[in-house]
Amino acid sequence: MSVSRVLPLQAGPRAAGLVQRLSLGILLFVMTALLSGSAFAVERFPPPDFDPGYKMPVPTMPAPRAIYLEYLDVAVLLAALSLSVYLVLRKRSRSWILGLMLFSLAYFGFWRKGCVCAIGSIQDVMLALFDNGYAVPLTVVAFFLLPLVFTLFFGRTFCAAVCPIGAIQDVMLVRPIKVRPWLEHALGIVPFFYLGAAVLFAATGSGFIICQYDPFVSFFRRSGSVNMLAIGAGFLLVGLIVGRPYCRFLCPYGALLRVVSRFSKWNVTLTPEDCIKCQLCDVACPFGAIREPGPALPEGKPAAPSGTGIEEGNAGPSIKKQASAKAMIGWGVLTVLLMVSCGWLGARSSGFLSYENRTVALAERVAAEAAGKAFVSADTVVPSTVRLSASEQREENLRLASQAFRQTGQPVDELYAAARVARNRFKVGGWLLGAFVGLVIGIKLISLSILPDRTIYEPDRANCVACGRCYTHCPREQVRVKRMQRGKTNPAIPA
Amino acid sequence: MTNVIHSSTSSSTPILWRQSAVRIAMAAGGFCLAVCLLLAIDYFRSLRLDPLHSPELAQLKVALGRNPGNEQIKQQIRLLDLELRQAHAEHEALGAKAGWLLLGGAGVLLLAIKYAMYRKKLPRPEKKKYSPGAARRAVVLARSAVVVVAGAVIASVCMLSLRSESNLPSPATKTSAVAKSTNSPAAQAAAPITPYPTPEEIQRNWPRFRGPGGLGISIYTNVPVSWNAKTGEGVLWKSPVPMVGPSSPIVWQDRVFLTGASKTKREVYCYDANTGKLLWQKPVENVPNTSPDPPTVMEDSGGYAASTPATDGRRVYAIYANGNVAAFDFQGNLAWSVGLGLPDNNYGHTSSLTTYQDRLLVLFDQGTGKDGKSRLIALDSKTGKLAWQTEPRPVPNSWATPIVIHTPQNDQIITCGNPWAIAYNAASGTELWRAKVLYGEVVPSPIFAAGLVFTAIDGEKVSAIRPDGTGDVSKSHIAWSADEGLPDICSPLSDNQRIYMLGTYGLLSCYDIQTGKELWEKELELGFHSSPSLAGDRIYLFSDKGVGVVLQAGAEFKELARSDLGEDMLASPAFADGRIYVRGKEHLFCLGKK
Repeated sequence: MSVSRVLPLQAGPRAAGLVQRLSLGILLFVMTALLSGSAFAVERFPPPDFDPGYKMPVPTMPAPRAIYLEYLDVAVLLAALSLSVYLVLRKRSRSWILGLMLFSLAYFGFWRKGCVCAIGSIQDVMLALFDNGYAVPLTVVAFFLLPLVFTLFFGRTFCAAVCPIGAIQDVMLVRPIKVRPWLEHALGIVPFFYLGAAVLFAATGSGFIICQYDPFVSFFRRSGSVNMLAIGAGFLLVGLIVGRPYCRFLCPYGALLRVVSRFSKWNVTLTPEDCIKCQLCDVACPFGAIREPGPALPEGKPAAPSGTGIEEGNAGPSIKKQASAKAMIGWGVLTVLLMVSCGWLGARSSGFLSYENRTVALAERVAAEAAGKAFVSADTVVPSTVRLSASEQREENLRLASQAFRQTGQPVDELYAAARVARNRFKVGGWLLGAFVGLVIGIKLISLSILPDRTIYEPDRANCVACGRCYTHCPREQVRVKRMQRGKTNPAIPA
Repeated sequence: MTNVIHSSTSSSTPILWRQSAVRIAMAAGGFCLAVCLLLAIDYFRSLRLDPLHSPELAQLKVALGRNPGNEQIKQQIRLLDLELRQAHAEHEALGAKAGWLLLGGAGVLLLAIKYAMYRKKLPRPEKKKYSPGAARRAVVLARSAVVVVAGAVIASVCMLSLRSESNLPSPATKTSAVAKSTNSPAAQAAAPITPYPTPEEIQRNWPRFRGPGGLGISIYTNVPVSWNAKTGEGVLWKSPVPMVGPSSPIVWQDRVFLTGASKTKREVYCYDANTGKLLWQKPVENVPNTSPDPPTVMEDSGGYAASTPATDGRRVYAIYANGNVAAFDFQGNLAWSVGLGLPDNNYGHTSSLTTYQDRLLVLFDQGTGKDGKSRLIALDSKTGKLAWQTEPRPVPNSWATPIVIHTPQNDQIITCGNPWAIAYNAASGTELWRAKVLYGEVVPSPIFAAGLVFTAIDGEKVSAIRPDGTGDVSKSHIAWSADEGLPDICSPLSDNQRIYMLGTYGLLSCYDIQTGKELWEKELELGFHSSPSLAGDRIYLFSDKGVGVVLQAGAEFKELARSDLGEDMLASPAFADGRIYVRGKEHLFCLGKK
């Protein structure tokens, strides 16, 4: 009996590795198939052509969701955020955080089908700010503000266990690999670009691109366009080996939280008083959020920017200070230049960007038809046997929109005028977006030039999503936990 | 200290659990694969039973179009439609159930894999030591990466911006543009929106061989009567044509389209009608179903591109002697292309294209007439997919171009071959009537005038056919026929009172359209391949040597002018507002007043 058990165990590491790789492959395949299965479910047909007895069903509008249920959502959010704070900062337990994460995935994800969500609420709030005619529900405002406020005080506890998008990626992570720091830095600026673009499109009333390209909502709803499913599949498959790729490299709300978290009053900490620099927290963190110690500097001495040609020990304090100031001025000037040049480019690109606006797109279509550059048709339909690509479908939609517009009898000049107004707003927005992009690049370059002054391994305030993995592996934390446990059983021992 | 976290792994219990997890993972993986297999089988089954793309259903609908009153076909369609929908509903229900099963299986698989791969004991990394040099290199690398990513994003946006162009009129030019659109015929064509090119739109342009309806008649009466290519008088511009071809120019608003080809290369050209600038030149290549063998053509006349292209104002369509058909939008982007196969044709395919609503019509006569190769084909003009095709036509290879006529009963496609003139329903391709009025190698295209279809071929006769018959109307619907002064290549022309026919050796004859009485004959002492045209009350003829002869249309012969283009030509001219576009052997000419 024992022999039969021992043999497989001896051959275990290779066999198990093989099985694990095989299982991983199966998982990839399954996820793809799962998405494909959902994709088929969204096809729609026209009514039957030949059935004299067929009665068209009367279209019905679904009743609005009961208001108390919306308040329940806010209450659950508030409770989940509070519990997350407790679990992250007080309980310091990965297991409990994982439990809350699964609850949030079930409630905000599969039960509420990914809506309302804090990430998409950015757009509602922005549109409400710029369009007096848009009434944003209080629930949405609460979903926008509560995580921000909690982050300001407690760090990214929302990302830790409340956001369903973070949760689904977190549970999918099977075999994390480290993303190189240079790549992490480079891709880390993309969420800010996305945030800027989302704000621009929302503020101009052109569309909610965050929702439009939400990669996971189709999973939560088990239905969606092929494009959305494909994007979601891509993120989930990458997420098997790269920790939370959407949160780190695309999430616009995460970009906001990153900024706010830098100023948070309390945050995830390891064991600042007795870090032994074992680096296990760094190994345990799949999100590259553990920062290494910098050069050992005397207490109270400011760090000198890198790239100044000054290295430790080869210059006096006054020279270092001057060089540091000069470098900072240089970076500041570069940032301003970047803001101006990117702003100019943004304004130049406003024409292209404005095509996302329905009024502009329709006006362009009508103008193209008038110029003989686009297919003109009032009642032709694409043959039902033709499968249209996404771009063809967009073209077809525009053709139908143009047809509908002409049937309204509205003067074309009015449409053109409305399109010009929208385009002018994009021009202003393009300047602002470009300047914002320049600012983000400039700040990133500056931040890379500042030498860290920490002397221990510690979680990055901005990037740490408070998942609690480092707690489990930090030996000093384990000692602290043991001490606490002993303190509970034996009051004579201090906890 | 580290023993605190590592000592627990010494027991064999976790390894047994891990082994169990691996086994569970294998079982869950197998289950998921089985579900996936089921989904895959169901998916491929659903493709075959797709209600939106069922070829059987499409065929039945085409058949119903030909026989709208056929109750049996209707019943078949109903049954098949129901069957396909039920199959699809089953497929969706199965997909939903399988999706849940898969989700559950995937969840178990994920849990098992995570447990099996869980590492309680993390690898202990080597102690890192801060190195200023390494830190500086890391910073430089990170900076470079940031610049690259930011640059890539910005460059992508800029490139997309450069590719997009706005069609919105500027506020300053808006009023004048709208005002102009109500005055100029060309601008009128640009502004209104119609289902297809309306008859008015078509009349304002020259969208196919011999213009609107293939009749060779222009609505513009202000076209020039004379010109002088040597002095440049009356020649607005002259542009070289990259490749030869006897195909004729066509015009839509401010664009002139031509085709050219050699043994190995086929091209479409788009010129600015106002300046003669070659706007784009696009090859027709990588066409599916292209025959590797070159076609048999009359090489000395550039017969690889003998067929005139056609346009519906949305796209331009071209066909070549090897049976390749291609469609380009007005910006020169290939919309689609399809190879119809190498035609079995003695002199090369020359029948030109024409459009009817959203159909592109191709008369693909070939072979002997007994081998069932000849067909009239209708392609979907947007996609190039086959819309319908006729039963095999009982004619051998022919070279005439079909026309579409509008009668009180229906729209008909008139085709010519040896020996039949056959009319088809333009909507469905079903045969309406046929008349045995032709003979030999049929090149002249038919025309429609005064409610009569006219066909003519040298060696047989000119026939006036009433188009309201069914079946064989060879004896019942011939209004009149004559056998003198008949054309062999050029198509006839009519001013609705008379019919004019031109032989390649220069004999022009005129018949009364109602009685069939010959009114006059005139030997022009020139050779002709170009078909005659009519603008106002003037007939325009272009000889093989490029001599333009303008005649007064009427019961008596009256020559108004002769002008030399200075270049050989075979193509028929295209007419626009105040202009004539003529394709010479090497140049495209625009004739008009400056």
